[in-house]
Parts: sequence; C-alpha cells; structure tokens
Amino acid sequence: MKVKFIGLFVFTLLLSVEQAFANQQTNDIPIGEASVGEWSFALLGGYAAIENPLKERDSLETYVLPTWSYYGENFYIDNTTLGYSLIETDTLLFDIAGYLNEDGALFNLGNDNLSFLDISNYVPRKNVLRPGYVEPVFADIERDFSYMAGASIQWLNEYIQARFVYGKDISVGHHGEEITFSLFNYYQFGHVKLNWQLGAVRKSRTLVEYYYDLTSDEIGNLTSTGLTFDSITNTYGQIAVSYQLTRHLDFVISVKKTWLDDQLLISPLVEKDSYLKGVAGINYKF
Amino acid sequence: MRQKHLQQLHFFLFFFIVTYGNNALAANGKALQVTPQICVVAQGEKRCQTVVDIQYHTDHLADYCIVIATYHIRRCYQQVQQLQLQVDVKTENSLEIEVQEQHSNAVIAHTTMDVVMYKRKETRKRRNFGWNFL
Repeated sequence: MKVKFIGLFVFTLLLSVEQAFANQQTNDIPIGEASVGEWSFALLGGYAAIENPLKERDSLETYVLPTWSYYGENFYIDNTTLGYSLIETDTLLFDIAGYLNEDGALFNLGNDNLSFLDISNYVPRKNVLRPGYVEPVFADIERDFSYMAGASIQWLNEYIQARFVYGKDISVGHHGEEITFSLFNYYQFGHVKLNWQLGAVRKSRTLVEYYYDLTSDEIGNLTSTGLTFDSITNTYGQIAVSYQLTRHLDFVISVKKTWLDDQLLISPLVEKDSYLKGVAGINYKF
Repeated sequence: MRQKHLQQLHFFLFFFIVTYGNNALAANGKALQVTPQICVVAQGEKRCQTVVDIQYHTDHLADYCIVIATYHIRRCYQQVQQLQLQVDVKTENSLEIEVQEQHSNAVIAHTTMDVVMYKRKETRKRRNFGWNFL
C-alpha cells in the first residue's frame, strides 16, 4: 500500500516537474548561446579521451564527463573559463577572462611520478671510486596547471566568428603568456547541430620553458639540458556534431586535433607531434 | 493506520487536482467552456489569431446571449439549454466572454481566453576556451 502511495507521489511530482519545465522552456536556446541567469549542468555518458603527446605519460580516458555553465548579465562561468563582459553587442564581444592552459593539463592527466630516467634511456654512470661521489638524484618532473588571466575579443556575423584571447599565467608564477586566434561557427539543421573551429595558439618562451625544458634538479644536477626555446605556435582543428534525441538528451561527437610546433619536439618530454581529444556519447542536460 | 493512508491519498489527490485539474474544470465552476483557454502568439507575430469555440450548458430553459464586449458581439438564443458559438479572433489582449440572461442582462457565466506572447528568453553567446573536453 505504502509503495503505491510513494508511486503516486513520485508520479505526481514528475508530472509537476515536467509541467514546470514545459512552461519554462517554451522555446529552444539558439545554438552556441546560453540562457541568462540560469545554471546549466550536463552529464555525458560515453567515452571521452585525451591522447597525451608527452613521453610515458598516460592518456586520459573517462566514461562520465560533467559540464557546467552559468551566464549572468555580464559575468560567466563556462567549465573552467571565467569572464566578465565589458562590451557585448550582436557583432562584438569584449571580455576580461580567465581560463585553464592546456599544457598544464597534459602534465596532470594521470601518472605524474616520472623522472628523467623514466622518459629517457639515460643511465647515470656510477663513479663510485671517486672520493666524495654522491649518486645523482633525479627529481620527478612535475608541472602545475596554469590559470591564465587576460582578455578576449570576438567578432561575429552570420557566416563566421573570430576570437582573440590573451592570457598570462597567474597561478604558477612563470608568468608565461598565450595568444589564441580562432575561427569558428555553429550550424543547426533540425535536430542536428554542428560546430567547427580552427585555431592557432602562440605561447611565449617563458611558458614553453616552464613546461618543456628540464630544471637542473630534474636532470640530476649534472649538466644543463642545453636546450634553447623560443615562442612557439600550436595549431588545432575541431569538429563537433550533436543530435537532439529529446529536450534533455543529445547524442554528441566531438573531435579536436592539435598539432604541436616542431620546436617542441626538441624537448625530451615530448614524444608526438600531434594529439587527439575526443568525446562520443549521450549528454544529459539537467 | 488505514485512516492515515486515506489522508495521504486525499492529500495526493488534492495536490494532483490543484496541479492539473484546473484546466479540466469549467470556468468559475460553471458550464461555460472556451477553447482555446490560452492563445499563444506565434513567433514574429503581434496578435493571437485563432477560432474561439464557446459552449454553454444549463439546466434552465431560457433566453441567453453570448457577449464578447471587446468585439461588440452579442449573439442571443431563445428558449435554449445549450449555446455554441465560434468566433474568428485576432487580438493582442485577453478576451472576456460572458453569458447573459437576454432580458435582464444579468451575467450568468464569465470566462477569459488569455493571450500569451511567445517571448524568446534572453541569451548570451557561449564562451568556452582554454582546456575543455567539449
């Protein structure tokens, strides 16, 4: 009997929620846009992976991927991006913004306890007969996430959108800088949504040195790596397609390929000249 | 215990009726029904354009009129128990519909067809740069 009452209550509640949603969401949000003043949460079930171009470091694979965003009148949070709009018209957006740098993420996807000995075939020569000989210690190669603060400017029309983002490290202390230029657009054909993006990221020498050079601790205080870096430019292309199954469910596929600047390949930490990031699954929007 | 369950059932039924039942009941608890009860203005349009179906049932045989004041409509029927009228409307505002006793003009039943504008929610362009999966 009790079960029936609970069932009735749940049924009534679900209908109430459904009706509340039906009243609220009388129209779809245009593609590439977000409702003002509402938190949005989504959970993707499927497969999401990021291939790691760094030597001996794990690629990340996950089967559940949460995403979130909030857009206020001027302020916004979109996953790890934070910003405040100073200018927002139909054709121009100018924001002060912060975002997470991608290099830092590559160093923190999984196995972090790697030393120079793990990523190279270097074998230290043990000169035990030499008086005062101390066996060299190779510190683990660890790099922190860099949170970048700066500004973004975006132009848009019905054919294309273009965005410049400038960011300078405010979390690690290396003060490296990045400029990203990207071209992208969104399309909708009935239930199918499509988004493409092409971009290039210029990274300053200090940022490149922090991530891709080795410190003397990491090479056993033996010698300098002798590497000299300049600023680099990585490029990327992304395509994302989604198919709306219901008001709350989308089938999503997204693939991004990033090509590293040739100069990065001189770093002993880097193995591949490009890497893929991809997602495929069902996205449930709460 | 049984009494408690019955109370719970009454509570749920009440909740259910309050939530959904209001649309099923005739306006003002009387037998005047208007279809549609809500007219949604199409996107890009300024007015609601629809055919309003008005029906009234009564137990008392008498002379009645259906009155839509804003449209200057007063359609009268003699010695009837059932009234039906269909009206083409194009309106920006809600429509007040009355059933009057023909000779005294006394309002016997009254209801409203509401007009709701299809208003697009305010949105902003998404920003999602830096390291993200999607």
